[in-house]
Amino acid sequence: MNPITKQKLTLRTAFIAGIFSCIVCIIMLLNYWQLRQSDPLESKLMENLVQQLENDRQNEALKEEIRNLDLMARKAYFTKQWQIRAGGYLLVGSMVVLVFALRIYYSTSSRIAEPDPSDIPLKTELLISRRWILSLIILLFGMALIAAFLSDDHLARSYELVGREPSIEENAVEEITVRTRLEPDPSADIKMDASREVLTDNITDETGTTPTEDEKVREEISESIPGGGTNRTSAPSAEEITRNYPSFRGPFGLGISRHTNIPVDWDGPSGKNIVWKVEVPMQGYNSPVIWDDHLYFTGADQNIQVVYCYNRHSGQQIWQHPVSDIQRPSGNLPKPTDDTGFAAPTVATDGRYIAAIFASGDVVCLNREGSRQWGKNLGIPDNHYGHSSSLILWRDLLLIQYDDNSAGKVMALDIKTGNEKWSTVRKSKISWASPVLVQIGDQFELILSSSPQVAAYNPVTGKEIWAVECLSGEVGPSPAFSDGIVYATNEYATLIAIEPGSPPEILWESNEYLPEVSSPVAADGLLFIGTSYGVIVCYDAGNGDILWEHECDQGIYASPIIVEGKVYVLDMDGKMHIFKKDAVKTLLGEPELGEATVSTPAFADGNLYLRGLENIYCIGSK
Amino acid sequence: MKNLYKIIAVSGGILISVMVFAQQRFPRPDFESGYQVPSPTAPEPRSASIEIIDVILLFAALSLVTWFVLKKRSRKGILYTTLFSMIYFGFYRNGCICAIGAIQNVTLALFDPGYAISFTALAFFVLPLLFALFVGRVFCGGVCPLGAIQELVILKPISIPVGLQKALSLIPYIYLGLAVLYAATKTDFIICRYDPFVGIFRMDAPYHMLILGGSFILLGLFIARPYCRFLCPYSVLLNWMSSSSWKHLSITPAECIDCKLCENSCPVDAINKPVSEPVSSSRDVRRFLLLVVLVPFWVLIGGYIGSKAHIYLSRANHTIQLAEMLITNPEVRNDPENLDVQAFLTSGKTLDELINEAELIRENFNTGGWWTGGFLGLAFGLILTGKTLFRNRKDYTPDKGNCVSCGRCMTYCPVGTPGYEMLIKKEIESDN
Amino acid sequence: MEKENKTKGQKRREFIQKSTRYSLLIGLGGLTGLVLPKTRTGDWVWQIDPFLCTQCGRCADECVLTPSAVKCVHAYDLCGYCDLCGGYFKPGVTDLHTGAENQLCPTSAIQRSFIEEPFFEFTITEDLCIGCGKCVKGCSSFGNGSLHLQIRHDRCLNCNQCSIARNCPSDAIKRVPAKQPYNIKGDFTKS
Repeated sequence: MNPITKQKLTLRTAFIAGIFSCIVCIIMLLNYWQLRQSDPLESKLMENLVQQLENDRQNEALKEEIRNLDLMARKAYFTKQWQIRAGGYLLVGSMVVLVFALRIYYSTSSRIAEPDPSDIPLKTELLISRRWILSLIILLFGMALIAAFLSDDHLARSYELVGREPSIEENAVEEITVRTRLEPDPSADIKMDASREVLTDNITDETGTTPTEDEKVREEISESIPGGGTNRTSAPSAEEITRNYPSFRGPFGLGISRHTNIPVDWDGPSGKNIVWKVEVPMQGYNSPVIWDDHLYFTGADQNIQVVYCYNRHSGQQIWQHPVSDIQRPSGNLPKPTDDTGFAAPTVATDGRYIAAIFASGDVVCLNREGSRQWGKNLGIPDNHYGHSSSLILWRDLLLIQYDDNSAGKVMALDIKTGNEKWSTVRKSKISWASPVLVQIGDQFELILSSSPQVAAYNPVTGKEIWAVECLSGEVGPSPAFSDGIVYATNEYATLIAIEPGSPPEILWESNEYLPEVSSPVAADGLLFIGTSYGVIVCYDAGNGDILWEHECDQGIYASPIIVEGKVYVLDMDGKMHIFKKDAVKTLLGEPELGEATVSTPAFADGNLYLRGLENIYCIGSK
Repeated sequence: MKNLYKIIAVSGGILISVMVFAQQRFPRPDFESGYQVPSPTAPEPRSASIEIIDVILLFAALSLVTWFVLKKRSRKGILYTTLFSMIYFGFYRNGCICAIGAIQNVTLALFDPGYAISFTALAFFVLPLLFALFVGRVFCGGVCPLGAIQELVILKPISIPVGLQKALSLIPYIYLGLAVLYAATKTDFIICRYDPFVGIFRMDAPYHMLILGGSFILLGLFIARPYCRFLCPYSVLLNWMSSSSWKHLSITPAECIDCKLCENSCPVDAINKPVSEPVSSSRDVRRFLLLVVLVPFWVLIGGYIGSKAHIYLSRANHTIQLAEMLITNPEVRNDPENLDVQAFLTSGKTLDELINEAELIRENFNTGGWWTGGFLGLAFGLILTGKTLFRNRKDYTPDKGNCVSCGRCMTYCPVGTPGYEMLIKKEIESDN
Repeated sequence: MEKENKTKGQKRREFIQKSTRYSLLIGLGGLTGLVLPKTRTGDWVWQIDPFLCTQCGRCADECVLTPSAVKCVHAYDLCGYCDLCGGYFKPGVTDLHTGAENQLCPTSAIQRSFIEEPFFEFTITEDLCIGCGKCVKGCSSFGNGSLHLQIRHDRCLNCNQCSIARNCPSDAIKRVPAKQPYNIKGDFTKS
């Protein structure tokens, strides 16, 4: 071929290929930019339409619209994929043609290179090279030094910023100072506590300022209370706690009550042995709690949250405290399901304060008179049923199990100020169980049940003591404890007996009858559970053998409580199944309330209190 | 690091054993209609036996280019081998694994007891270096797919001013140092991540990498082999090997007649011209000695700066990033959009554990910073020293370290061509 | 021409070159020797550990390939064959039909077919699946966890450093031997 024709041909080809490449390149860039603006698979419009449909389920036209939009979105997505792929091949192809043509063009028009007329002497070249190299080295090292000096070592500052380690001693110190300012408490367990206090006694001397601060706080508290009633300012002893019914499933959440003269017979519809009955002022599945003469519970819906205090003898409302002005972080409020509601967790009290938590993540602390001490939001729980874990109040620490879909957490707040004393992230999924506080030897352990593990934490420091991975699914039942053994269970998972220790030991497991919501209770070698399909089972707590079973007509959500040698199991129809706490099945009575119930009963000497869906009942001899 | 993997392995094991039994919320159905439960498909990856073909082809291509460079002296042969390499190692094998990335694999094998390098990766690392030690950078000339794609798009290579060239040629050392540092601390494979051409070979990449690749190609039209000369970390190693190679590409088949025809033929400016100046003066010798003595100081300065910068460098590590974020911005725990933080919070690991891990990694970076900085100090010091003395040279020879054995210069040399032979014959005849 | 009579300088230079060459050879050999005991024939491939996966959705975005080499795999022997499939339906649907407004999967890659009362089979069309993990999240929250994400090796390029692995928030993607390239849940893996 004529070289000139060859030249012309290749040049023209190159030109066309070049233009083609540019066009394809621009199209692909536009395509990319369009994709960045709106990914067809995640359109806001679609989300909005689906939201609308949720509120308006029967709208056929809306459904059609959504389906068409979805089809278009999917088509758009796959078409884009195909377009990008095709565009890529076209671009590469045309670039190859372009380069090839240009190479041939340049090879046909190549000439012998002329030598450089101005030859730089080698020494100069070397000099120039050295200068440039040196400049670059200095530039590089300079940049590195600047970067080095501008970067803070955040890790080394982690002690100040997130307060690692030193917090343990702080807690112990504050605890001591509270105790040492008291008149000696007559109850027996001071000796029990003294052993722990001795260990940390020496620290008190170093923090001279704390006692005076504590005094000031006490003065503030005594000022705020108008006077009258038991005006204690120190945390109640364990013995006092067991004389009351201060949290979900009784003292420490163990399901065992020390009260006496509990009735075994009543009838709701006829009013037999019903001392008083009042309407539940606001919906809530939480169980009532009692301290001295006060009965506390809460109710809430999506707008209002209220804490109530009633006189337990007369049924009169003493006060109610709305909780509405707590600052919440941004985010959607949870939408609890109807069978959980906005006020599922039970309040906790210690005679001085009442702490309540709601599905919104709001925690509030009130005093006996109903005045707010503090309120805060712990972060909106990502909980698809609704936050349900109840609170435990112990020695100025408000212990909160806060497991949601984003993280498993357990924390302790100072009951007087609401400040976080410790917070421990747990290896757990979301849970609806409540914590229990047990004493093993001279140490207290806070036991939490969730999937996948049952774990024990030191309630003062928050450090994990032991954990056993044994559960799965959505854990509703809280643990039980008796004679040093922890019992944990969940439906479709297992019923397991764990001996705490390092390492903890699994004593036995059973999966014949498993509760879904109701928590087990154990005492004196016997373990009682109530299942959602209505079977009450008594196990031998030592080896897991089934001693007896009883079938009810209705499922059981409330937790069984052991009191006065009897087991009280409340089914969802309001019928209380009372058995003797014995290895032999002895049914003592099945009094009916005449109203649906899911909340666990509360006990006091001579009385028991039931919260139905509509009314609260006080049962006892009139 | 070992502990981290242990923790993951053990907790993974526990989780698996618990979950396999206890995951079933809904028990497996008993089918009455005779329905058979199907099995999921499991398409096999590329067979291991095919991997060995890659190594064989690598060896074959290297040998072929060696033959073309040393024996046949055929630029066309090298070109066609380059084309084959681009198609096979580049487009067919998607440019992965390549010898450049293999540096990281070897580093990881040395520093991570839990990683066993695959034979292919080791072969890809060692073979080109071995060949370079004996016959020069034949890998660059005809086998490396990245070099191939740059080679094939060279149109009108222009010469870069010498100072700029020498300064930019320091960058591969930095790239090598950082690549080894990040690979050794298991942070990242930066060579793979920032490879501009792999996106073109794969025909799929994040858009910014495709644009980077395109820019390199466009640049490569006029500045020959920009990645090879100014970025490739493997070129540092090849340079060392090739500088003391036994045999090397020579421009002339016999002796150089100083015709100057090849002077501007090298696209990468790797031809050393004859030097007619007198030998180094005493001043030059003194300068040389001074720079030699300064080398240890360069090493110390480099090491010191490297260790000072270790905090900044370590921020590329994911664990450290996470730990720092949780420390400085604890409110990020409540952010449901931040997937890394949420995953950490549900992992069951405490912040304490994370911070301990991060501190360990920081320590590694501190040591690594000393080594990397020291290495860079040494390299820069030696390069600077090397630019003082020189030797008289009578011939045009390729710089053994920088020449990529592409063979272009060979086509420019008249010695040995029929036309030249005829000219010589005519001269001899006219003399007689 | 003067090659026969090498000067002292040239001889010295050649000696230095030779010794450098041999030291480099020894160095290279030493390095190879250090690394050889840690060599394995047979390659590594990348795979997701379905128990560590948090279904964040990055698998669909971070893979260098489009669509991603990560696909959802169904471990049929773990499936409950439920009518109300947590991985198929959006949470909160009351009317169980296959309309677009009910489906979780953005590309409609899951097919629901009736087997017998009350069981339904759910199969995944791999060409449509983009590996976003929405169905996996639903299945592991409300179901048996039989749907899980896996890297498919007929598509995966086996990059030296997996881009998804680099971005996985729970470090769920690791190197596994090419001989056992999958972590599929259930009895299938045991067979």
